[in-house]
Formats: sequence, structure tokens, C-alpha cells
Amino acid sequence: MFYKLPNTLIDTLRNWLPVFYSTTLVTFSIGLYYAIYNSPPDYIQGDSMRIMYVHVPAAWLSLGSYSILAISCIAWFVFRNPIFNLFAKSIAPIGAVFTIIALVTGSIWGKPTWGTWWAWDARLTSMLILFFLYIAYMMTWQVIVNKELAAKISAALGTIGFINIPIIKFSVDWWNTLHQPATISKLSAPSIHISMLTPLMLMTIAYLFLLITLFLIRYKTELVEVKISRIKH
Amino acid sequence: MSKKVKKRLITVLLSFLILIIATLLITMNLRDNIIYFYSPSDLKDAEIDRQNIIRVGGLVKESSYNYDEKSKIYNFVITDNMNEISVTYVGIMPNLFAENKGVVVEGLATSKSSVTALEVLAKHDENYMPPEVIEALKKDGKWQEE
Amino acid sequence: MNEIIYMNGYGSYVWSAYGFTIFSLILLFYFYYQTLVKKERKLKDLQDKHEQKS
Repeated sequence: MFYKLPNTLIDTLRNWLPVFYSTTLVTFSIGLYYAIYNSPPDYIQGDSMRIMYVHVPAAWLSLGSYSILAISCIAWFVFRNPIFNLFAKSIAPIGAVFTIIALVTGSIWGKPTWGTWWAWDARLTSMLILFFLYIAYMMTWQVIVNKELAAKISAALGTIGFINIPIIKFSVDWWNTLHQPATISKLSAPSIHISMLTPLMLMTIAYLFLLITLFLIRYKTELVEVKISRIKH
Repeated sequence: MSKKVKKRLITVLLSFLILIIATLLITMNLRDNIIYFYSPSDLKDAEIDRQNIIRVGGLVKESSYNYDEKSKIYNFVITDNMNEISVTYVGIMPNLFAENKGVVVEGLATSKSSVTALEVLAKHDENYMPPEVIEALKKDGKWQEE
Repeated sequence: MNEIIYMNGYGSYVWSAYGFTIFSLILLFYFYYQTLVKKERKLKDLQDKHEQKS
């Protein structure tokens, strides 16, 4: 069956874990060097825009992580293969931490630029909802003892929350928000200078490698847990 | 694909479609609550309640900014290139406040075209450029303020 | 060096944002790694016991 493919793929990737550790470390070092030192300040925001290099990749990947979570939940509904639950469970805490990073760094960035730590505009509010969705997903697995029931409820929750992703993405276009619209979208040329795009992309790659590394560690842990419960019974 | 899987797939997709429609309906009806601020044109058409705090946003009109040192009152005009709102404000201005740049003010509407602000927030745009590049672009006459 | 710390007056904002980011990422990694090590040890213990029984 075709869903065996991600399984074998992950088995191979797991053997490469040490490589992912070092790659993550190296890409982060290069990314941070560019973000802090080897890039110019912005013509209006000055050096405060350097916060963007940790804020934007975290925000992007928090949306990406949730998409993987939601698609895994949908796939579980259709195929009823427990492997999809393991995917979703493995990625949820990572996505939650990325969301919290986006929220906190955004708040720190907001003070010197907007003049406020927080505003209840559509982008910030929907991002906060994303954080609660991650928490709710993880809570269902913790709180509900009956694992079959937990699987159903968490998958339903994960799927329903998917609607929030396009809302976050397009909130800045659909409604008046304090948050600025997207700098980089596929429809138009990015309105960011190459000397600033480079650190942004490097940091995104670094975050991505960290995401994969953490996912593999967590996935391995979940598999070990499955083996433990099998021996116990 | 087995029959069972196909049936489940259709069920999931259908329920998701219903979810999307429901969300669209809700957000469209709640638009007034979701938007963070009104544009000057929105305010022109709106019923104004002078008791309620509102937010208005737009660009700070060129050469409309004025600060009275004696009374410590800021005056400026918010424009969306169609309608204008004049703002009076006493308090701290954000660093990035500037003419031709975005701004959002929170305060009480005194009329359909004037607001007494309680708070002023700078709304920055999505462009990121090094200062030297802007200088070079300005020299060539290729830089356009919004 | 001082320039980098000061960041033209934005130092406290920039460094607290970077600090928070790196701190939470390292914490997450540490927590994940510790859980994996603990669970693997537990599995090994269980497997050893199992072998002794059979």
C-alpha cells in the first residue's frame, strides 16, 4: 500500500539522525551569523527588523506543521492507519513551540515598531487560536484514557482546526489589520532586498532542519512507546 | 481504493466543505468586529457613536503633521486617498510615526471627519530595504513613496 | 562588538527575541532527547525481563 512509503522513508531518515544534528547546528550558525552580523539594518525600522529573521521562519513553519498535522488527521479518518496519528502526535509539540516563538518575538518586535506589545487584530488573534489548537490537540491525548476515543476526538479537532490556516494566511488581505501584509508571496516579486532575503532564507532552512530532526526524535520515541505497550500486554 | 475508504474520503471531504461554508458565512457577517480599524471612507458612511472608542487607520497625509510645543498637542490628517480624518492627540508618539506612512489611532470620534486620539500606533509596510539602496533608488528617481 | 550589543538602541528588543527563540528551541530539543533516552532504556529493561522469563 502507498502509505507504507512514508514509513520506510522515515526508517531510512532515522538512521541519518546524527547527520541531521550536525546539519541543524551548522545551518543555524550560518543563519545567525548573517542575521545578526552580515546584513544591513532596515531604512525605516533600523536594527529592530532583525527580529524578523527569528519571527518569520517560526511563523511559517508553525503553519506548515499544523498543515501536516491536519492532513495526517484527515488521512487517519480515511485509512484508519495508526501511523498517521503518530505523525500528528509527533509534530504537535514542535508546532506549538514554533507558534509561541512567533507570538513572543512578534510581540517584542511590535513594541518598538507599532508602539504596542499586542493588538487584537485578525492576524494576531488567529495566530493565538493556532496555539490553542495545538494545545487542545495534545490535551485530548493526555486527558482521554480510552485511546480509540482519543484518536477519534483528536483527529476531528485537528481537522476542524485546519480552517484556521487559510484564515491566518489571508487575514492581512481580507481585513484591516495592524500587522503588515505578506512580503514574500508567489504572485509578486518580494519587496525585500537580497541582502535581507539571504539571512531570512538561511534561517528558514535552519528551522526546517530542526523541525525534521525533532520530528524524527519524537517519532522514534512514539515507536518505542508502541513497543513498550506491546510487551506489557 | 476499497469501497470503505472511498466512502470515508467522501464523508470527510463533504464535512470539510460544510465547515468552510459555515466559516465563510460567520466571518463575512462578523466583518465589522474582525477588522482592527476603519478607513476614513468607512467612517464617512458609518453611524457614529460618540461614546464608543473606535480605531481609524490610513496614511499620514503629507505636510499635515504639526506639534504644538506649548500645549503638547499633536495634529495630523489620516487619508485613504479618498477621504480624510483629522486627528488631535496628546501622548507618546511611536518611533516610526512619519508622514506618508501607515498609522492607526484609537480614540473618540468628535465628528465624521475628526477624532481625538487616546493612542497612536505606527503601521509599517512590508518593504525591507537597506538605507544605501533607498538612497541609490532616490538618486535615480526610481523610488516612489506610497 | 559594542555596536552589535547596542543595535542602535534596539539591543534589548533584538537580543531578548533571539534569546527567547534559542532558549525555547534548545529546551524543546533537550526535552525530546531526554524522553527518547528514557523510553529506550525502559524498553531495554522490559525486553531483558521478558527474555529471562521465557
